Formats: sequence, structure tokens, C-alpha cells
Amino acid sequence: MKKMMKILMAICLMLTVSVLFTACGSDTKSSEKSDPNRILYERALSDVPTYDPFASNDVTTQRTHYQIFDTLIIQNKDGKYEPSACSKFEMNKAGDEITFTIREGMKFHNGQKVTPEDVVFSLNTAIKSKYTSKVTSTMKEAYLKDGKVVLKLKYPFKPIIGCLASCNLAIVPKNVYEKDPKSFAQKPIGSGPYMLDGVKKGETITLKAFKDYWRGEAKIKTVVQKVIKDNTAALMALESGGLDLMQPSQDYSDRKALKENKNVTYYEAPQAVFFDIGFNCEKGRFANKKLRMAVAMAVDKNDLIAGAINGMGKPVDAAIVPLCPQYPKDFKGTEYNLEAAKKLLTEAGYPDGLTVTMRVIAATNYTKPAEVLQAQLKKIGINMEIETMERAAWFEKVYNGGDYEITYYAHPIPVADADFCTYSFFHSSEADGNGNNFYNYKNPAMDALLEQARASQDEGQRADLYKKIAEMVRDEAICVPTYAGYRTMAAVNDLKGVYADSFLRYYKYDYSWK
Amino acid sequence: MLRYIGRRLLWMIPVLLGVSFILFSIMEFSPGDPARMLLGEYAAKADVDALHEEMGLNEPFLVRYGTYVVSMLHGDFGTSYQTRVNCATEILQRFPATLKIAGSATFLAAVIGIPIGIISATKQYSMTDVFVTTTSMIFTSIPAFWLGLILIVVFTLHLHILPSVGSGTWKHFVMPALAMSAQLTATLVRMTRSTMLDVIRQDYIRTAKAKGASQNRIILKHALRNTMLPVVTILGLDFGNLLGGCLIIENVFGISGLGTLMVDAVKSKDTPMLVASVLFASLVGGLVTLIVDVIYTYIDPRVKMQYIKGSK
Repeated sequence: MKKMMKILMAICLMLTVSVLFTACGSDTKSSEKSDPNRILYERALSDVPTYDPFASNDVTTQRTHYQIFDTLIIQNKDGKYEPSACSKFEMNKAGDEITFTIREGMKFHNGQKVTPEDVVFSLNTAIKSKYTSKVTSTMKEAYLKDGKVVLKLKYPFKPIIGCLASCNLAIVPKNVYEKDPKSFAQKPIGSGPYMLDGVKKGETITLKAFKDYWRGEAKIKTVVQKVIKDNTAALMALESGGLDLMQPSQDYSDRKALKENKNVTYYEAPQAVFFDIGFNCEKGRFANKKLRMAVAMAVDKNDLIAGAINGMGKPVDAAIVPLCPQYPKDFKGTEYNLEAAKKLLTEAGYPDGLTVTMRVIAATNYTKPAEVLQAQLKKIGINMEIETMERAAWFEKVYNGGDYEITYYAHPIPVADADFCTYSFFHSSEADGNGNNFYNYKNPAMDALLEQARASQDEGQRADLYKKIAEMVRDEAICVPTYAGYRTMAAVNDLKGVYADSFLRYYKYDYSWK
Repeated sequence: MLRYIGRRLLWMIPVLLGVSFILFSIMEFSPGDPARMLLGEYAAKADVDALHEEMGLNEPFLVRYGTYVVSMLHGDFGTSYQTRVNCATEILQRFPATLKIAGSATFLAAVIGIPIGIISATKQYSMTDVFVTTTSMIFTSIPAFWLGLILIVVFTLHLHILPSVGSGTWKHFVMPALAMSAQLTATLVRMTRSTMLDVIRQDYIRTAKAKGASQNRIILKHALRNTMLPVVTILGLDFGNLLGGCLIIENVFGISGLGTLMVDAVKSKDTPMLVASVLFASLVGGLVTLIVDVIYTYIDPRVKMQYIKGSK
């Protein structure tokens, strides 16, 4: 037995020594800080299922697509739209046609020149795609005219320029894509600043700088995106030097840890989304406007922000994302008034209060605010039970099926324009599972305002119309806007050019090492 | 013996068919629309309907299941709804990582757990035994993901000697293997100790002692083989389970394995990928169980005779 103990101890000692010796300097980063070819290691939340820009619309995938592909328009870090693959563009007087002059000298990663034919093909493929309707639903077709690309819209649509900055409208080589779209989806060819250099499924995506990029080769030659799903593991990788850049979670303790880390810089930008309490305005008890209004008057938004997101947000009063230029200034939301809320509850036929069920997606973005609201509504006699559901189930039953009374959700937008957070959410044509009007609110007066605001080409007029829309949402208590949070980014101190973007559009071309 | 193995292999076919039917049914009747998951929440209804048509989701459930089974029998496990890549290709790409974690965790557990269990049993009630049983109780209780995070804090953040995420080199598998093997090692220690204590109290062991055999000879030649049956069972079952995916460890260490593939398939209602990956895990699990049964025959020849009698 003593012999066995000795053998066992010897094995343990050998294992320990071998780990200590061989692991020395075994950092995942391959280059020293002073190396001009230093690799940028970035966290990715998930793998990229397809590199076909017309067959995907999830934000995580698009973060890689933005590096590989160019678009006609680009959004800079100040939120302004600039020509990118086009040298200039002109809107016609009617506002339903844009003419683009394609930039000379642009090349694809395979050395081919970027031609107006490629741009026309790319736009028409995007328009026909089922995956891109968020940004292409107002586009009719693209065609060539005198060597320029003309994009025809179904109707005048002011925010169209913002839509063109989406990588769903990426430019691809016609001959390569047409020949084999399935192969293209795994081996993409774009004209962006980075080429896809290698993929280890579910683990890493390697991008290499494209030498012939029209703006010049990117300063950071190699970007490796590491798929790290666990937030704690990602944080530790950032702290240990395994990562240079990551988008932190919404968790307060994660953000606090990053803010306190002297080796890391933390960036914030307002989210292009607002969260709201949604009511089923057509069926059930909340078809009663007084009941909806009672709930609206019982919501203390500051308390909600403190309890649900640790103060990392701002109250929203109008049902429009505050980033939108049409957000009405000094807009007053529903007044917080518990006594008035109780009175309305009695008038609605519930003098002794009632029990309702809030159906939310099982994610802290929704469950935490639901818990805070549960406590707030109890003050006026509403006992709110929270039913959490898996995301797919929530979409089927609540969003598309209308099988709910009250819920908590968000209004994300792809472009900073009020049309994206109002038309599809409040127009009657989008109700009954046909669109995003999961409140099933149907009002011809609202429809008329939304249609007018969409068609108008005058920004002053649009702003007035959206103010009226926001007032109607408030007065009808269709939903109760609550708050908008922050988009965040964390990077090591020697990485320059980093910023947090409200729309999660990150161009690595702008980054460099100090 | 070969007949026995052949029968076991044949039995796997109805088992796998049953598994595929259950999974297909669960995915069919659980809420969520794979077309909408692909197109996004804001997709137009017409686009969703068109994609349903394209994906064949408008066909009746039994027709779709039948088509899937026929193609499965031809070796085609379908195309993933999410990635639009052949499911078998994806699974075979991910399986090596899971195999490395499972294999190294099982190996570590066996190499550490069995000897320590033997030592603890032969030194029952000593300080060594108390230390071993207490430590194994602690490790049985510690969740693998928590241990994984602690290992990252120690070895990556403080000591800077092991990488925390990825799977590029063997160093990437040290911490995942340690984290996965901890509970298994503790279980093996306790099982080995318990079985060894039963065995060393048998008459034939007393006879061997009386005949003057050394302790080492008694343990290694007489007692160990009789201890191994339950130990091999646990090792085999756990190895088979780990091969089905160690999701949490894969997430913590950023390793792309079978567990992550399965969970992603569930979340995105990717029925072909889920069915293919679970079938693969079931097949592997079944084969591991069969191998364990064959190993029994080498440990205890009486088991072999039982198999042969049973297969006649």
C-alpha cells in the first residue's frame, strides 16, 4: 500500500510539473502589444450560421457581415449617414427614387471590380429576400440608368437612407453569388475591409484585412471573433488578456466590474429600443381603456429603472425610441397618480381589485421589470401573476396569437426614425398576427395619422404627426412606454476608435492599436 | 458472444427509431415556428407562409416524419434549418471536441478515483480515509460549471498558465477535463471504496491472508477484479452521458461541442439538427454501453457464459 501511495503521488507530481512547465506563456494571444500585426480578439455571442447577407437578419451575425461587405451608405459613429460604396446619391423630388453614382476603383475580395450591375443585382436580391423585409419592405426594384443605379421605392419614404446602411443591402459579386448561393453562404466574397480567412465552427471566426480595400488596408490586420456564450467566462477572458473587445451583458455587476477595471475602457450609448407594458386592446379585460389607464397611472418609471436595470436607463414617455429625431421634446407621459389609478379601477368595474397574468419571455430583460411592476400594481389592488415563457412560445402565443392580457416587451428599431417604432406596431393592418401590432389596436384615426406621417417628406410636419401619434398612444393607453437602456462596449485601453453603437453597427476598419 | 453483440446492435434500430419519433413529436407540438425564428420577429406573414412552403412545414406531421425516416435510412440526416448545412457534417465537426472533454475527464477520473478508493478502503477509519471521504463528498456537491469558473480564476487570471476559452491546443482541455472529472472522480472514489470494503471481507480474501499473501497481492490479484464490475459500469455510463454533450462546460470554456449544438437546435426549433444530434448521441451511448458489457466478460468470465446462454 505504501508503494501504491508513492506511485500515486509521483503521478500527481508529474502532472502538476508538466502543466506548470508547458503552460508557461501559453496565453491565447499570439503577439506582443508592440507588434504592428497584433491580432484583435473580439467576443462573439454565437456562431455565424450563414455569410449570405440576404439570408440572415440577426444582429450577432450581422456584426461579422459588416466587416466583410460594403453597403451603399454607412452610418458613422455620430449617427450620420454618409456615402460609402457610392460616391454620391440624389433623391428625386417625389421622394420615391434615389440615384446612386457607384464609386470607382472598388474591388471585391477575389480581385473583381465592383460594377453598377453588381449593385443592381445585390439590391434586387435583397428586395426579393424574405429575410430582409425589415429594411426592404418599401423598396420596389433597382435598375441601371446611364451607368448609375436607380432604386425605385413603392412610395416616398423619408428614412430610406438609413435602411441602405443595413448589411442586408450588402454588395456582392453577381456572377459568384448567382452561380452558387449555397457555397457563397459559407465562403463569402464582399468588398468590405475584411475577408473571411477561417472558421472553426462554433468557436472562432478569423477575418483578415483586405489589401485592396478602397479606403486603404485596415490598420488591424487580423480580427479573431471568439464565440463565448457565458458572460462570466467572457469577462474573465477580457481581464486575463484572452479578449480585447466585448459587448458586456446587461448585468449590473458585470458592468460595474468593467467600469472599475483600470485596464479596460467602458463605453455606453443609448439603446435603439424602448421597453413597454403591452395590453391586449381587443380581447379580455384590458380591452377596457379605463383598466389600461389605471395600470399606466400606477407605474413609477424611475422606480422601475432602479429596480429592473439598476438605474442604467432613462424614462421614456412617448411611444417612440428617444434616439429618433421625431421624439417630441418635453412630452409628458401619463401622470403617476395612485389615487387616480384606484378611482379608474373602480370605474372600470374592479373596486376590489383583480388578478391578472403577465406573460413575458423568460429572460431577465423582461422578468426583472415584471417583478418590479408586480409590486407597483399591488399598491392599487391589482395582483399580477407572472408567467414566463420560452421565447418561441411567447412569440407564437402572445405576439402572433394574441393569447394574453398584459405583457412586457420591447420596440427595437433598425433605423433612427419614428416610422419603425410606430407604423407596424399601431396600424390596424398589422394586427391579428399580420405584423407587429400585437396589441391588436384598431383605430382608423390612428391609421390615418400613421399613413400621413409615413408619406410626408417634410420633417417638421412628420415631427408634428408623430407627436399626435404619441399623444394618442398615451391617451388610449395602448401601451405604457417605460424606459430605454444603454448599449455598451468594453475594450482594452490600447485599442483606439472603439465606441458603443446604438444600432450595434461596428466597423473594425475604424479601430487601431495605440 | 458474437451473436449477443449482433442482437444488441439490432436492438438499437428500434430504439433509435423510437427516439426519433419522440423528438419529432416534441418539436412538432411544442410552441414556436422555425420559419419565423429564421426570418425574425418582424417578418411579414406572407414571407413566413412562403418559407413554410419552402421548408415543407405545410405537410402533415406523419408525412414529414416518414420522409425523414426514409432519408435517414439512406444516410441523409437532413439539412439544418439555421445553417442550411448538412446535419451530419456539423455533428462530425463538433463531436471531436466533446470526445476530448469526455475522454480526458473519464481518464482522469479513472486514474485518480480508483487508486484513491482502494487506498481509502484499505485504510478504513484512518486519517487518510476520513480526508478522502470528506473531500469526495465536497466534490460530489460542487457543480461542474462553478468549479470551471474557479479554475479559470486561479489558472488563467492569477497564474496566467492556462487559456480560458477555445479548443486549439491540448492546454485548452485541461481545465474542462478537471471540472468535468471532479464529480465523477468523487463518485468513483466512493464506489471503489464501498465495493472494495465488501470484497476484502470475503472468505477467499481471508484465506489468501492466512496463506501469507502480501497486501498488494491480495488487493491487486484477488480483490481488484471483483471490485471492478460496478466501477466499470459507472465509468461507462458517465462516459456515454458525457459524449452526449457537456453543455455547461462547453459554454463556460467556449468549446464548440455536441451539447451546445443540441441546445441551439432546441432554441431555434431546428428539428433536423436536434433529431440528428440526439440520434448520434443515443447511438454513441448505446455503443459505449455495449462495449462496457463486453468488458464485463473479461473482468468476470461468468458473465460471458450468461450472455452466451441468453443468446441461444
